[in-house]
Amino acid sequence: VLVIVTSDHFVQFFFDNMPAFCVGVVDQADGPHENGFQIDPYRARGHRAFAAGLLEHGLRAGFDLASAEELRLDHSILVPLHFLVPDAALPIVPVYIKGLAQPMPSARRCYRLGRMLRTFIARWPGDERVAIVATGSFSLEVGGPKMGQVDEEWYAEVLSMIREGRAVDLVRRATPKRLIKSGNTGGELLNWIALLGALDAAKPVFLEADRQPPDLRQDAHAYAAWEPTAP
Amino acid sequence: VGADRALNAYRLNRFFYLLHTDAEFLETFRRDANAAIARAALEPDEARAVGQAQVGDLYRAGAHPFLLHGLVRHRLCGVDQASYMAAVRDAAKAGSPRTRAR
Repeated sequence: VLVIVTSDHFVQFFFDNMPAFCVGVVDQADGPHENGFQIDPYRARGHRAFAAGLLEHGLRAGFDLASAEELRLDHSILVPLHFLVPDAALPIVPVYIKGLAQPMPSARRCYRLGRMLRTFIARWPGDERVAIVATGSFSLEVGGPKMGQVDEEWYAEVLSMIREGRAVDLVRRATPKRLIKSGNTGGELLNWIALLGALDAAKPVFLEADRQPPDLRQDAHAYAAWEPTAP
Repeated sequence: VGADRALNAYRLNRFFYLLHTDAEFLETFRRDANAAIARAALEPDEARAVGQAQVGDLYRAGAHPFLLHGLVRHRLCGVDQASYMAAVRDAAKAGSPRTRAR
């Protein structure tokens, strides 16, 4: 099972109904459903039982999760899947964190969401192997006045906190104000923070900074991998 | 305030959301902007701001930048990256957007 922690880009959700946290409880889902993104069509299987179990566990653990039984996948899910699971052989369970619209959930809450996910996975009775993918930029502005600028200070700080497994510092520093200052999609860092919660703040076994893709937008992000320890 | 007072952020965002996610709506807009605008039930001032691609006014009114930037992504109304950025930067200098929908 692949749990994907991400922020929807106004494809699954709009301001008519915008949850802070949502679990996709589906048998299948496809995309792209956003115009102007050159992404190959992809149809993923869901894992309804796992997702439903996570939803119920979360609600019992004090996380008032929303759920969605029909999903329109966006690039934040499809691009990782395109590279990681090109044959669409793995069932996915998307976990959405509201990171692109204000107000956002707190970093502390997202970290705890990750810890809750860790507990759920540890208790899951199935024999599936579970991996978690989280996606998001550290400093990126789309369509706002700072578009094209990277918040170098924040980017360096986030990279070092992740590299050193300093999750407590990251949670403390990642206030809504600080996230937004880094760019109007800065809230995508909440997905990384939730992942760190699920990993019990482990240090990554691989971390590669990626500063300038050859496109219009200047984007500061990274690629990282962890080998989780058993809870 | 004044000129953009009549612009409703939610309705504008809904319009740009349709351009973002609805391929048929985007195609309609390309063929006949007024037909798409009519379908989206915008108020007259909103329809004018969208039809004339008044990027600065739309930004100030609370159009979400990610959605508003669709004008550039979809190459609509002659808005290119340079003219878009000039308008948004001017609008931002004049004051923050009026809604939380940033």
